[in-house]
Amino acid sequence: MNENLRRMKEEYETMNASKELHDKIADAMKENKEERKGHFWRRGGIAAACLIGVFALSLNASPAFAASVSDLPGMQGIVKVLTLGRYVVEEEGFQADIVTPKIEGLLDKALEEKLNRDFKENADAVIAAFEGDMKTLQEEFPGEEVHMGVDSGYTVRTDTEEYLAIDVYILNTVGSSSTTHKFYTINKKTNDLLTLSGLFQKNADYVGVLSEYLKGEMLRVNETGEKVFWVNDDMGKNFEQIKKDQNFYIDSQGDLVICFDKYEVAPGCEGCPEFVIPRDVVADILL
Amino acid sequence: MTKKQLFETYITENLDRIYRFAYTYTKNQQDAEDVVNESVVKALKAIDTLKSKEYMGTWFYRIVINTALSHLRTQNKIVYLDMAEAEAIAGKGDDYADLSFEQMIDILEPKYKSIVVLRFFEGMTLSEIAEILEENLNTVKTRLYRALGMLRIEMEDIV
Repeated sequence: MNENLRRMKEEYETMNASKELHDKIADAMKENKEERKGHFWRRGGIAAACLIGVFALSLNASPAFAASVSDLPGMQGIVKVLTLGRYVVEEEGFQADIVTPKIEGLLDKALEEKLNRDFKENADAVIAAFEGDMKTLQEEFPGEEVHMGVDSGYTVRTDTEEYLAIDVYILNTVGSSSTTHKFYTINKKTNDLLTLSGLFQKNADYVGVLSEYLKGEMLRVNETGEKVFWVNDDMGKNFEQIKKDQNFYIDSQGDLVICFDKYEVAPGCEGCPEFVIPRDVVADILL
Repeated sequence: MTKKQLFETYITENLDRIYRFAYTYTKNQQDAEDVVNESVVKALKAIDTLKSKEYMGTWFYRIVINTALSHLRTQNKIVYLDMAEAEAIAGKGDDYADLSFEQMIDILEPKYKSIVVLRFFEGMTLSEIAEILEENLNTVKTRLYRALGMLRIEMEDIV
């Protein structure tokens, strides 16, 4: 063999997978076994499902309404999320399954319309991006095998008397330009769309407080070796603080959950990390 | 053993090779690890498309290639040098004799460097490579010669 090639080969062969990668792959294979037992959300994380929008709806339009609803048997489920439309493509290497959700039963009809319009626009954007990517790939690699897929849909994460939290997610089986991030919070008391800041007192440094807690938590988890978060490392990407309008939802315990997209704070294999914020962390600054 | 178990054994035994191959595309450790991980996850989901265990390597390398390419596309990181820049990096004049692996993967496009790696570093035959890339044998040969040409490696050295 050519001398130069031989040297390159030697160099090539010194590159080995890190221990972390070995561990991650072992985990991925283990997860895959567990998945068959029905760990849906863990699969979501590992299979790199990405949340693009999470929103929480506070349904207590007024304390009186909240009370009256909870008093009536069968009335808790009055606000519903339904599937409005579905776009499916299955052809040679291209796969798409894009579901458009629709919300029904909100008292504020203008808000309901706005949400449904947003859902529709999001889904349309995803479909357009998919079709664009598909066309580009077919032109760039005519006749070659490609794999491209996108799944988009929604799940109801929380459905209690007070809150309805819905995930609207896009799962790109390969990369594409279709990842968009949108986030909604509605407070029915004010009939306004809020950002995360709406949960906290005016002028409170919620970004600082939450980021501080999250950093500590990421470091703690890094220590255990179970996961890797990009925090205090010198690889470039480094979690400093959350965005002012970071994704979040309210879980069924009424706790705030902060969500990150894939690659936002951790390698892709960690999926989309979520952190439940203990109440005492934010007690002083909550409204 | 089921196909899935065979696949898991294959991965465990070949992870270093797969990582190196992914690195050839991504040119950095983090992205290479992501590509390997994503490929394994995809392969596990699609294990039914593996026709028989003889095709394991071919089948999985193809998944890695597709994953790596889409990874590059997402990150818009496909930046290739023109030949003048390549020469500047590779050294003065036309002497490529001390080109390193890292330089080689900077200079060559994926469709060339993958063939160089599979042929010379992984010791695969041209027909195996043709199968992985789903190209016909002549295309693979042509690309290999072009790649060597770009690297200024003499044909007679490798025949």
